[in-house]
Amino acid sequence: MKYGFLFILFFLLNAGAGQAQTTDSASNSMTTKFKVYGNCGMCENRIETAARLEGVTLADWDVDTKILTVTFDPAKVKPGQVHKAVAAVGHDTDKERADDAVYAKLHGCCQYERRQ
Amino acid sequence: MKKIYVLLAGLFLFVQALFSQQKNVPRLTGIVTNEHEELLAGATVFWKDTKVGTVTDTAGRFSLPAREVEATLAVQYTGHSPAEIRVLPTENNLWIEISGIAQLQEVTVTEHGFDNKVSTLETRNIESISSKELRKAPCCNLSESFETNGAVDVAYANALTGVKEIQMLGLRGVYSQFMVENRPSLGGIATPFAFEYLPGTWLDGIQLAKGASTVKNGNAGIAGQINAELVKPHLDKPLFVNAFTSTEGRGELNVHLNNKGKGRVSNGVLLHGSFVENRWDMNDDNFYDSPSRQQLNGLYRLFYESPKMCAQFNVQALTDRRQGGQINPIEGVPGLFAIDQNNDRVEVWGKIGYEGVGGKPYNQVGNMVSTSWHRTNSLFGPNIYAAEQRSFYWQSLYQTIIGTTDHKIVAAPSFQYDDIQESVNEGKLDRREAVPGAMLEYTYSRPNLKMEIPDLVVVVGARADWNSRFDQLLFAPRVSAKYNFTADAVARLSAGRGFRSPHLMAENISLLASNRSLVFSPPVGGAGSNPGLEEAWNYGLNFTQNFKIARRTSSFSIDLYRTDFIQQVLVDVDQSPTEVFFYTVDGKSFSNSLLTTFQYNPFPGFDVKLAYKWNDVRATYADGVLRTLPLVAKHRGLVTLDYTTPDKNWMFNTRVQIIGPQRLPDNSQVPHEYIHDFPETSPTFAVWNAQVTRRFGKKFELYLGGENLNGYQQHEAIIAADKPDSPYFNGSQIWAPLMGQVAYLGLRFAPAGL
Repeated sequence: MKYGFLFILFFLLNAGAGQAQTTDSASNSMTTKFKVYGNCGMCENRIETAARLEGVTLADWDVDTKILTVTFDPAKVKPGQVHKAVAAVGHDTDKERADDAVYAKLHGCCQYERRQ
Repeated sequence: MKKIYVLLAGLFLFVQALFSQQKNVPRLTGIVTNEHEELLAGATVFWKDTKVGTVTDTAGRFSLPAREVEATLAVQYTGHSPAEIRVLPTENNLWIEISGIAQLQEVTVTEHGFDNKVSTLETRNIESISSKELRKAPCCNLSESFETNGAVDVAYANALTGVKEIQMLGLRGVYSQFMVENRPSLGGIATPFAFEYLPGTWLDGIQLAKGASTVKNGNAGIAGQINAELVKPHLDKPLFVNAFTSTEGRGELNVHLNNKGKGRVSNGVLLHGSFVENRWDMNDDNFYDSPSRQQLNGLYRLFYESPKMCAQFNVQALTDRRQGGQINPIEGVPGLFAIDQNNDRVEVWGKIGYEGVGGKPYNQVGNMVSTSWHRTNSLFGPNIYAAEQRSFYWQSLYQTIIGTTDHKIVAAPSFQYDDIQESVNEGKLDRREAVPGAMLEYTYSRPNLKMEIPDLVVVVGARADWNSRFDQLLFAPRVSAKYNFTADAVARLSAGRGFRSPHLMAENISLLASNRSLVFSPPVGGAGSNPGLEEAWNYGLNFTQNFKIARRTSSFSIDLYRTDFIQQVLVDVDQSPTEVFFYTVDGKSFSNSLLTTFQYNPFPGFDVKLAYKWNDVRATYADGVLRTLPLVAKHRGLVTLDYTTPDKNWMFNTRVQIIGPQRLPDNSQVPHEYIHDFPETSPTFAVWNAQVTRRFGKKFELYLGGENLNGYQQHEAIIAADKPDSPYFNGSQIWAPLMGQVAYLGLRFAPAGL
């Protein structure tokens, strides 16, 4: 019986720790990274503006690595919506392909090499 | 019973301790999903190159100790393509999506990169200077781009000609092969000015290969190879403007116009205009400290890129004028020792390359052709120098594998032709040189799955060229190898033979800024009679280690190089103060060079670099004495400190160069009325440069800086400056800056973002 008490205490502690961690992550915003195709500083402005949806606190695209880093509140917005928003302004992501007509309207210098 | 209690209590305390410890260490948490945002249970998540990892739980969640530096997190799940994510220490909760289609994914690696570094991956000891490094100093042209680098030394400009020479491994710049985008360029009579004809903003990066490097582009490059990569129209900004002015009286404007165009064609124009209105005579010797200059330079680039083929066409045209020398006439001396140099140049080159020939992705074919015309007309007091050169170069390169990609082979035939007409006063040095040749190079790489890079690479190459000027078949074998002890520790060695066909007059044109007579032995004139072909063996060792000090990136590198000349033409300025002798060395001539570099990143944004170099360069003179070459410093030090604010709006760069004693040419025979004292060595001195860059938004930045802030100057720069008609008059012994403090201000502007 006495061990039983100790074991219960142990498990409670364990669960408590686990709980603390889950609440931690739920309250925190999340960060995701994915590839967005583009060329220049002008692309950067367009991509970052498009990615800044409601619930997105930070959108930063690196022209060298082509990686878009998005910090967001998972309760308000999901990465898939960000992919769609970026593709909507003409930039292919590693998941969504931009409409050909929108791509064609991009400034000459922004017309990145598209994946076939 | 009691025992069990104690045991349980102990276990309890242990678990407690574990938990409390876990709470103190920051943890990285997150989830792993597939492309449909469905949570994946059982996915492996680990810090790359470590044993720290975990597996996602049934809710797709993971938690593992966070890293204090930017690091790569690897994610793997059966049936899905593995992913790698660069994680910053500030990112503590990740949403990681991995794709279900097992496709080859591009791996992005953005290690904290020093802007000037020796890679641990390259087989050869290649130091690359990035365009970011080039922004730390005004870098108005290529020669100034080396000032933040420990491997190449920039000698001080000659007061009369303004020509800056470089040294690599303690050897004159002419012993390094110079290339523009892996194509030999600006050789022959253009040699003294080569580095000034590539404006700094045109440069996308510079690669310095030390010692015996590849034979793809010829058998030159005894001390190493310098390759300048230029900006490309499809990657550069549509519009870029750079303006620069300095208290030296220098003004400069660079404009890039690029059109990415529709489809696969892109083109661009790079324009450069600069002038120096130098009216300074800081050392009061009645000679300008550096010449006035005017340069107009333009490059047009046309590119075509498709997945299977790329082609380019380029035209560069430039004109360069310089005026310097004596300021006021001297009573009783007729005329002025004036310097007037005019250069005009046109170069056209094209490249075409195919990948995946015959349906095999590893088969590559490349062709390049270039042709150039260069004319120079100069006046050095009473001396007239005139030269004209027409050059042609063709190379065709084939690359394939033997069995697997572990065995690569490259073969390239080439043809070079130079037609040079050159004269100094009455003496003619006309020559033609045709060099057909071919090279073959084999590379073996041993893959190492644990390191994910080949840990052993051996390159064995050779080329054979027939040189019409010397009527000789020249065979240049070269070998280089690297071995990675770990991904961060690498040792390299290289050995090989190099040749050089010297252009004695053009390369030593600054000697015309004196009244010395030039003595060629054997005399110039007859074909093949002037001192000629140079030949040397170079052996090198390098060790580079990247490591962490208090979890911050740092790197240490040591280079050891030995060059042994088999044949060398010595420019002897010691025998007589009124003559310069050019003759083939009879005896030993060598260079030993040691370079150690330490780079450290003590906190984010702050980089420290310390470099020390030791050079021992000696040659046997005509009198049989082995002497250290003049104007080569045995000891050199470099300290650079760079800080960039986290928002990248401010950048602070400073560097101090310490130059040890240099042997000065023997002036003991100069009568005392011309020179008051004749030290045998120059003193040790330092030169301090600093720059601040401020970025305003993404489109505009200003930079302000100062060169030689401590104002160190060589005073008696010209021997017999007050008697320019005497045989002792000599302005070519420069070992320190002639200009005191110089301040400059510049701007960079790109509407589409810098």
